This record gives sequence, structure tokens and C-alpha cells, in this order.
Amino acid sequence: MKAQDAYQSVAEQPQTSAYEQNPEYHIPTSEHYPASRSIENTTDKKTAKESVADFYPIAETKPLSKSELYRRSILEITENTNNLLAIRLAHEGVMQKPKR
Amino acid sequence: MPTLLSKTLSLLTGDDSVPNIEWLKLPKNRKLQTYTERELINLESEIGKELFGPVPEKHRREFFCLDDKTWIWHEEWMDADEKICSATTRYEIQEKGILKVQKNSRYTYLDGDELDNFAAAVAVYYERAAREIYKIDPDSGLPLN
Repeated sequence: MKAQDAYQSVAEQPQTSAYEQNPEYHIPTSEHYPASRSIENTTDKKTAKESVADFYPIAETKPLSKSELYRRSILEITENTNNLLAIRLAHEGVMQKPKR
Repeated sequence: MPTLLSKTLSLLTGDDSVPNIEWLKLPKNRKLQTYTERELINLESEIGKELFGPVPEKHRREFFCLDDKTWIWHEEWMDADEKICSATTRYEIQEKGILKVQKNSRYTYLDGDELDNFAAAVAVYYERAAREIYKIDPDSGLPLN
């Protein structure tokens, strides 16, 4: 089929959505989500925690390099310092001394 | 009706006549005093000096954040001859690392345990200052109830 013919055949198709063509397909029923597939009713020997891990696999973690640990320490110090100064600045000349 | 103050005064002085106590009264529209930056740093330093264990006898210690790039450790003590000695260490926050500056000593960047200890001290300082002085939750930045 030439490109022009392919375009023509697509263009001539009725402009209906997939839902309009087959409404049942989109309706979620218990058939689509049977209770037996839920974590609680799983029939295999996996625990709920393991099943969750299957659905949401956690990215493999590897130990941080020395330079990365160093970078994070500096970042943490900088962040805590900036947070402290922001709070101090907000209280300077505002925070009242206790009454004598 | 005599006020408590005038009554107390007459009891103390033994004078039965109504004394003039106007000069003792504080003006009602007197503004409450607020903390300056230096005073807030002093308050914080009270926390800072506790972070590294008890201060030995005849020692005075201060640890505080001077500005966004500088932390100061200052220690004073009496030597055996009752002479006052002192040591000041300045920690400079740079992109490259934390530069430790001491008088008559080589400048070095913190590393290893020393860096970990400094980071921990800064974290606890911030946590405690936020909660105990400014009454703010350090995580959310919201006032404590």
C-alpha cells in the first residue's frame, strides 16, 4: 500500500473513539479486577509485603561513594545554616525580651 | 483607697500620710524591648556550648553561627599559673568544603569523623535553637503550639 492510499484509508474511517466502538471494553468490572488478584487474597505463598514489592520494585541501592557522602555533608551543613539564619533574621528586632 | 505599692511604702517608711509614688510608676506606653542579632547569637551560643559535652571548670566556651558562611568555636581557660588562655577556631563554609581556620595552624578542610561531628553539631544546634529559642518546628518551619 502506498503512503497516499494508507492515509486515505485512515482518513475515511469514522472518527469515533475506542470507547464508542466498544463501550464494554472500558467499563471496569469485577471480571477485570477479581478479588483473587488483590494482595489480601493472593493465592500464592507470597506475603503482602512481597507482593507489593512485585508491583512497585524498589530501585537497587548501592553504597554511596566517599565523595558523594562528603558532598551531602557540606550540603546538609549549608542547608541547616541557611535555615537557622532565616529564622534568626525573622526574629531579630521582633522577638520580645521577657518582662522583668 | 491606697494602692498596694503606697501601702507597702508607708509600712516601710512608717509614714501615715499618702506618699507621692508617681515617680516610681513605669510609663504605660513603654515599648517592650526586642532582641538584637548579637543578643540572639548569645542565646544560641548557650545551646552551642553544650553540644560538645560539659564545659570543664575554669573554662568558658562559645559555639555559634556568625553568618551564612561562618561558625565560631571560642574557648577560654585558666592555665596552671592562673593566666587566661584562649583558642578560637573559625569554620568557613565553602563550596569546596568546610575550611577550618586556627591561629598559628595550617588551614585544613574538615574530613572524616571531624566533618561528621561538625555536621552533627550544626544539625543539633539548628534543631534546638529553632525549638527552644524561636519556638519553631525545624522541619516544617511552622510555630510550635
